[in-house]
Amino acid sequence: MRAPPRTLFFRLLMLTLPVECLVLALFGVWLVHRTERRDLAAFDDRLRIQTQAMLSGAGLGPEGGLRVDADLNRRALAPGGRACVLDGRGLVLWESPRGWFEAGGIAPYSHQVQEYLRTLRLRGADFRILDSATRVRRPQDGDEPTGPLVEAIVAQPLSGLLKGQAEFRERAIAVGLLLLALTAALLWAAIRAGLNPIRAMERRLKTVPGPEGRERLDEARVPEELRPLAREINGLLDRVWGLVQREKRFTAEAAHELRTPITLVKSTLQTALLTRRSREEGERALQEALEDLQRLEETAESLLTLARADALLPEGPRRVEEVSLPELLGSLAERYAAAASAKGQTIALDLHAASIRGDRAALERLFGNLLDNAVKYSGRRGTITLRCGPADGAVVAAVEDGGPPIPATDRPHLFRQFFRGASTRAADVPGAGLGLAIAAAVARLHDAEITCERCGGEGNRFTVRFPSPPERRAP
Amino acid sequence: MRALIVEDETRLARNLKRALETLPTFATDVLGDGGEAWERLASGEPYDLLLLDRMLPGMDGLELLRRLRESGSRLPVLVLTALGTKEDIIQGLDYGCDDYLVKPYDTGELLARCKALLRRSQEHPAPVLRVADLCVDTRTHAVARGARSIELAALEYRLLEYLAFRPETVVPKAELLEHLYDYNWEKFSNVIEHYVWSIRTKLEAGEEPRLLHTVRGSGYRLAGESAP
Repeated sequence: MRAPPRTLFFRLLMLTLPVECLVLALFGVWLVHRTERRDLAAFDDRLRIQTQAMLSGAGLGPEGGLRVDADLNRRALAPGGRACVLDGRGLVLWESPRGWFEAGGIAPYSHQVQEYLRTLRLRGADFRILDSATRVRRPQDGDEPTGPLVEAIVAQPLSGLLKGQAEFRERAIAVGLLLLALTAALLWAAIRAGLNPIRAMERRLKTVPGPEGRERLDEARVPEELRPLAREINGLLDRVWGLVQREKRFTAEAAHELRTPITLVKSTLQTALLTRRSREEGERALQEALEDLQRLEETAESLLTLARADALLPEGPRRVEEVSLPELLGSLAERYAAAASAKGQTIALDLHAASIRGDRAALERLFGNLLDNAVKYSGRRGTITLRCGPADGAVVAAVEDGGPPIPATDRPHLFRQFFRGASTRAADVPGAGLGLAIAAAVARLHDAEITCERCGGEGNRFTVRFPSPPERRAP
Repeated sequence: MRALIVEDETRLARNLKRALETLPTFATDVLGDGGEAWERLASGEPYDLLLLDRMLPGMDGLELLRRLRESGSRLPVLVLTALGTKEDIIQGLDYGCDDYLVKPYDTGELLARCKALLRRSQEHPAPVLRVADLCVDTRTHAVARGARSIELAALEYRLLEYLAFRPETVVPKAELLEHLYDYNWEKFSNVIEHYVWSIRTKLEAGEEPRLLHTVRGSGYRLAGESAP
């Protein structure tokens, strides 16, 4: 599922805006409803007072000038009483037949009355009937209300009220819309402000300088929700910088490694030109320069190999399988048998059943490099011994050579890229000092430890100690 | 003048020695080990110039330099190394070397820098040395008296240049011996007398007044007029 490419800001706005609309609308409806009910109650009160005034003969409504006319009085005062419906102005809208009450007639709020009012509504106006009948005893003489009981049902057209209500609703909607716009603007600003930490992070990342400063995001100054993100970004930065550093170091070392033969070629040729001695000396200089170029070529090749090896050996080996060490070392011994016998060396095997989990190709390179070195540095007729087997809860494999012992001062640097011992360089053994670096890289990959120590009077032992399989597995 | 080359790459060291010895100025020694070089320098062997690699077996070049400066030596040092980043160069100069050249270097430039270092350390920055009407050009190694140019053998030139850097000064014979020959040379004191005689002959071939004076029991002195 592909999410539409929306901004976080837009999403937040889209989520909050409907909720806000709903709240505003509900509030508006409630407000309008309440107001209308109040208006209606006020309307009813007024009507009631008006009616009472009208029927009691005062004939004056609170809004003045309402007078009950004689005709109405007469009819209203007819013996037996009758019901009538008056409008607010005192006009008789409906009058019950004479004797209506005596006949047991109809309750004021009977169906007939309602029906009649409905027909009134049909004439184009809505009428409000008072929710109760008004009973008034007409004053006969003097001010004492002793006359016959008159009951009236009062109705008044609602048009004025309805108009007022419509206006109020319009106004409410207008105000509501205005409020909506205002709050939307506030929301917009609030969301923007709320998203500020993200922008701050972005600015910080933009200005993060190179690896020297080791600048990172300050996790403590990032809001809680963004903290895991910041942590991940910091982790990523660290990894990237680590890689850049490694790359830089590699490039620097490679450049240095290339510089040495270039220096030699240059100095040889320039010196030859400068001294201009015999023809033979010139030829020797050319010969030497050619050999140096050869060395340069080999170094370039090794660099390529290492670059490839680094690419081949990323964070973890891709194919992990059960590797039998005796089998692996045995096949390697066969592969190097020819090279060894050409130098009169013998390869002895002391292999005990032991297996580890790991990347077979990488392990082959590890032990291949060790064996290659052993063949290179062991003198003629030397003995190279391959050993493997369980030891002290670990699995150990070792390559022993018959070469001159590596000086103790060189040992710590042995597994560094481009390191070549002084005696190696002096003896003009070809190589770029990468084999052991690669071996160490592979060992690291398998959580193994690679060490070098002197063995016996002559020779060196390179030991690879793997953690034992059941406890810990290779990555 | 004597130069010491400390460089572990044997062929490069040989090339350096050959290049330096194309200049008649220098008698050159080569060492491939930093520790050995320090011993040689600490023993007071009188060198006039040191060409120093940085990554050396025995003792790191900069460590050697540090010890050398700590011992108060004013020996001009040119660091010649493949470590050529800005930081490396700054570090090298801060350790007290006088010049820093990154490999692969240009031999011509290296020689020019060596000559410049030498002039500076001898407190004589002008490339042409003049004593009375004698001219010694340290760039071309041409020697002339007035308008008359003089052909000198390499060792003759070396001796004359050494004295020309110190006009009016009595230079003992032992000092001359120490500064004109490399470490492996059999030092016979009468060679100096032989060369002095030979130079004097060439300098006075046009009946000019004597410049190279013998100070009895002390040494030699290159000066316009006779003993003060």
